[in-house]
Amino acid sequence: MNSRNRSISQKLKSSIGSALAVTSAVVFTSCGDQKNADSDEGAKPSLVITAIPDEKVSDQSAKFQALQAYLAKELSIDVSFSLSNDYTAAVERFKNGEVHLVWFGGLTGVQARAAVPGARAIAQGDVDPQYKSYFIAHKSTGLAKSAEFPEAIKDMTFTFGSKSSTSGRLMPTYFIMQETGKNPDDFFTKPVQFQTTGGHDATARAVASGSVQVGALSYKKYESMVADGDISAEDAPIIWETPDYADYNLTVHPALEEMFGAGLIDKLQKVLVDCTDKEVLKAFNRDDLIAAKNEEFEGIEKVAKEVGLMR
Amino acid sequence: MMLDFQSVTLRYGGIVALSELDLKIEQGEQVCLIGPSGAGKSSFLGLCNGRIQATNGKVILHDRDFGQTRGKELTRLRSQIAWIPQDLGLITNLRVNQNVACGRAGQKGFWKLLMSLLWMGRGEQQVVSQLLERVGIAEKIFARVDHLSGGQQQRVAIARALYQEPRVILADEPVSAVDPERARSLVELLTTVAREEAITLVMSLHDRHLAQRFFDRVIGLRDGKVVFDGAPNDERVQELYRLD
Amino acid sequence: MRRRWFFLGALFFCFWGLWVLEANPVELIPNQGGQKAAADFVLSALHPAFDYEDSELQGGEISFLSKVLHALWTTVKYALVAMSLALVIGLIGGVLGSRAWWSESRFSLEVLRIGVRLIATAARSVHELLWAILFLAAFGTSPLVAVLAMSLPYGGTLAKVFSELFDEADGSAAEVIRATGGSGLVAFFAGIMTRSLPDLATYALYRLECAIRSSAVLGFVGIPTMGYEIKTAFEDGHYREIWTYVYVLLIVVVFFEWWGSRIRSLLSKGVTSPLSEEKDQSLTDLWKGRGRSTFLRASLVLIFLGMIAGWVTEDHWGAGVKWEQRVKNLERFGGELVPYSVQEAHGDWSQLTPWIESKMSAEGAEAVWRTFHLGTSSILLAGAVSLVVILASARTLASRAPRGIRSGGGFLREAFGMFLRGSAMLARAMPEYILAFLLLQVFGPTIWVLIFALAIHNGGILVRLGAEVVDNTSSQASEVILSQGGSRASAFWSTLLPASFNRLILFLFYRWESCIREATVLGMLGVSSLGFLISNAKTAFYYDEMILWVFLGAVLVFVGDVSSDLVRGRLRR
Repeated sequence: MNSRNRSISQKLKSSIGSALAVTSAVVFTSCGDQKNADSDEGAKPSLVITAIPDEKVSDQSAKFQALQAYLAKELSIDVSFSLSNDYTAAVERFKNGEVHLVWFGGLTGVQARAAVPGARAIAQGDVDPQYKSYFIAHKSTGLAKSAEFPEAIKDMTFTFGSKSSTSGRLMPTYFIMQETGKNPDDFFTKPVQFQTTGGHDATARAVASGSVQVGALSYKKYESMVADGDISAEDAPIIWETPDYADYNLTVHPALEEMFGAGLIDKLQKVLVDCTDKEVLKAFNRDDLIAAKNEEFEGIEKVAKEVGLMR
Repeated sequence: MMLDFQSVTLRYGGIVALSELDLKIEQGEQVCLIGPSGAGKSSFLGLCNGRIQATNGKVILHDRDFGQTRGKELTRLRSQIAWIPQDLGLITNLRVNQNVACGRAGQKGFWKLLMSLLWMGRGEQQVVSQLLERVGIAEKIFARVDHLSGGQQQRVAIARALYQEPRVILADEPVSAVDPERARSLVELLTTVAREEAITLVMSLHDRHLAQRFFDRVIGLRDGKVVFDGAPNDERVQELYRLD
Repeated sequence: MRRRWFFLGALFFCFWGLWVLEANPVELIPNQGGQKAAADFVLSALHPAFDYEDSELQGGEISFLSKVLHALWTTVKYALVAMSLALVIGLIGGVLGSRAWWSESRFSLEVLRIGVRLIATAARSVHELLWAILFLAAFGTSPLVAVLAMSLPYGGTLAKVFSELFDEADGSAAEVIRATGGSGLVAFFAGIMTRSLPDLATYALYRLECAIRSSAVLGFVGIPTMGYEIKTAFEDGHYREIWTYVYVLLIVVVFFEWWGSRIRSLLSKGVTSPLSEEKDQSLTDLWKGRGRSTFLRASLVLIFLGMIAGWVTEDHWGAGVKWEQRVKNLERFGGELVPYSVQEAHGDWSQLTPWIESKMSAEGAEAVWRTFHLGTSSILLAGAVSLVVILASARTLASRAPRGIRSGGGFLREAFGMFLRGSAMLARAMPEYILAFLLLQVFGPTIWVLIFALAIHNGGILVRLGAEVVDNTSSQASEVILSQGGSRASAFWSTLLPASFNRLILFLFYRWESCIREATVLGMLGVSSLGFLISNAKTAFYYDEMILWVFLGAVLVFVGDVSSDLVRGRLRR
């Protein structure tokens, strides 16, 4: 797209947007919301953290408390944590500037950064550049772990995790396409399922109970669930591991610099990468954080476009 | 001169409801319309308060032509004419006093009427109460209309008409739904009250015996024409109801 | 003869729908592992949680029960606030959409009336869940958005029903007022409004009950109501907690139904004065002794105060975003609504038609087709089951003396009838979406889950409406049959059913229309239909596609709405 054309298309977008804005401004002011908008401006700005709900939601706010306190102390600013309802809500809120620092998956991170010019991935877990998914199967299927892609699963019931999950949907889809040359919808003879509520936990439970025969999920999540005794590795053994790809990352909203002054994002990155406090790192289920760059996720973006989740 | 019909014709499409009507009703007069159904009694009453426009001719009330009157003037004119339709036109899920208050809807306007319906002042309550006393149901002032008997509901409608302080009361077969004894006492009530207040009363009745008993002037209508007009006498009345 | 054709047609449509939806009864039997999971889930219903299932997680901040109560209040609160807005919309729209207030018929008024009714129908053609998703993306996450999302379709529905009530109200009192000098406005207000007030209130109370269900369901898109708690409890694997929320929701909805029916009967029948009929009582005594109901007054005051409390006690109506940011967000969202092909062609709207064509042929047309059949098959199934249930549960039949005629069958029959009535009450108290969510855990992702959810909820409604009709239908023929020793069933099938047939079909069409509406969203739970496409588009943030699917759903509902109106109009005649 050349620059002249882009400006036309942007003009078009913004004219429709303005029309929307005007009509709804009327709605909102008449609903007495103006008062809130004013008080928002008067209030002290606060850095709001959220995360994609890829695990038990009731755990999440507790887990993020240490991080919240750590950042507030190191940066001397107000920090709060706010739960997101689902993966898309985390992205949507980031786009709308309601949240500023988000623990995204690979796909959601790419989606969010594509929608917010100037958004940056600043950190990731030490394991995230080489992330992978497990394919697990209920013990009754009799499948065992193999290095080859298990073609036999094509006649079994299969579930992904959340539709927006990188390790639970996007990359497994990609590798199924790579290995079999077919879309999951065509490869599997039975309808492919998604876990519309609950992330990887739901996949693991569905397979472990046998209600679905095979599933794909984050290797980290699987391992921690087995370690915590939530599921047993015997009920749902690993049958295949995908190749590595880049996944989770912390992405910041450019509005942070407007709120707290230039240079804050770099400072935030340094503080995060330097952190050694295990309590703080528990938020991400990682041992260490390392710096990240947007470019590292170009591969994910390519896959997302191939699979049809971005354009 | 009170009500003046000057060669009035009323047509619905091709059907002639009333033709070439010429008659006068003086202030304070009591007139009864009789005739078989379809004779044009309801249309006649409709012309009297301008609900229906004459196709030809003029209906003149207090020197004003109904056909020419509009806006405020029409409102003023109409507020002098009370109307008791056949089905009474009561708001059955409201209380009696609220229904009576609606008699002055034209005079009060929106806000005053709203106040009367929501929170009727003591003064107005007293006026309403006296009227109800007069029609004989004073103790029902705060009862819901649909809890009253048919005869009592008719009394509410009469009270509403009186509350309007009209110069004319139009009543369209007001006693069609009650037994003969009640009908008699209601017609008696209406004629008495109207006489006391010098209100013109125009009433249509199905029951010719009631008409003969309580009215000095009876207008016999048949097929949209006045068959006779004056003191009732048996012969003429029989002629009116004769079967062709 | 017409009845026979109707039954044949219904049978045909029901099976045609099931065939189109590829609903195979075999899918209803979960595989072995699934059976165990399903059994676990169902059995946990017997032990709802009274405390956190996993106590360490919660850090003991608030007790489980107070969390449940808080979620409950939030649910009721948003329902009340949404209803307060919807009532304003409904009253204004209801008046403008009716003929009852006109002094004279004028072309401009007719245009206004039809315009308002079209807007109202359009607003209610989009399910509140879809309004919420769109608004959340456009305006950011805030409770106000959820409330607005509910008040639009609810306001539209109220406007439509109110205007019909105004038009159908007995206008004799208004005519008297107009004939005696009252203006059109005064006549409308005093003669029509007052007379239809009990009906307006009755319907508004029914919608309040629906609003509580909707408010609970909106939790699934992130508003902290019951649905949110149910969803998170499921994500945490706390099945017993789910059932606690479900039971509490059921209790509250059933309570509101009972409350509404009490208020309804008080409003329509009134209260007789306890005073004796003696004359010569003073005005003051008469006033003090007038018939009035403390219950009714307290209820109305309570609902009014509840609405105010709902507005006042929420301190986060906004999304916590600055005003300029919000306007920027909206502009961006507006851009995202432009179809992608048009964006790519730099604003060339001639690309719109091929884009829509390609979307329709790829998946859109099929999804609309399936959604239509989903709604239709479900309501026909519900209708069939409810006919049988009505026979066994209508008060005038399920008694020792059916329709006043002593005959066989005793206590057991009465008890069974009562049980069926209770079950129907629970069935209709349960929101379809949550019902489908629960059934999903039992049967897995099959289309049956959606069919059952729709059929159960609507069956519960049809049983109540139908039983009322059958109870109020006077049919001496049925009494003759019973007194001659005929069975209840033969009295029902041969006389009562034909006598009340038209009204039963009326209700069937009325529910069919709302079934279609609900069918557009249920697919979001992961079963192929319009809702499924909507959730796919949401995942990829393709709002242009999403708006297309929402629009298609709205058109489907609109068509259903209009045709159901037409059929009902004919049936009434």
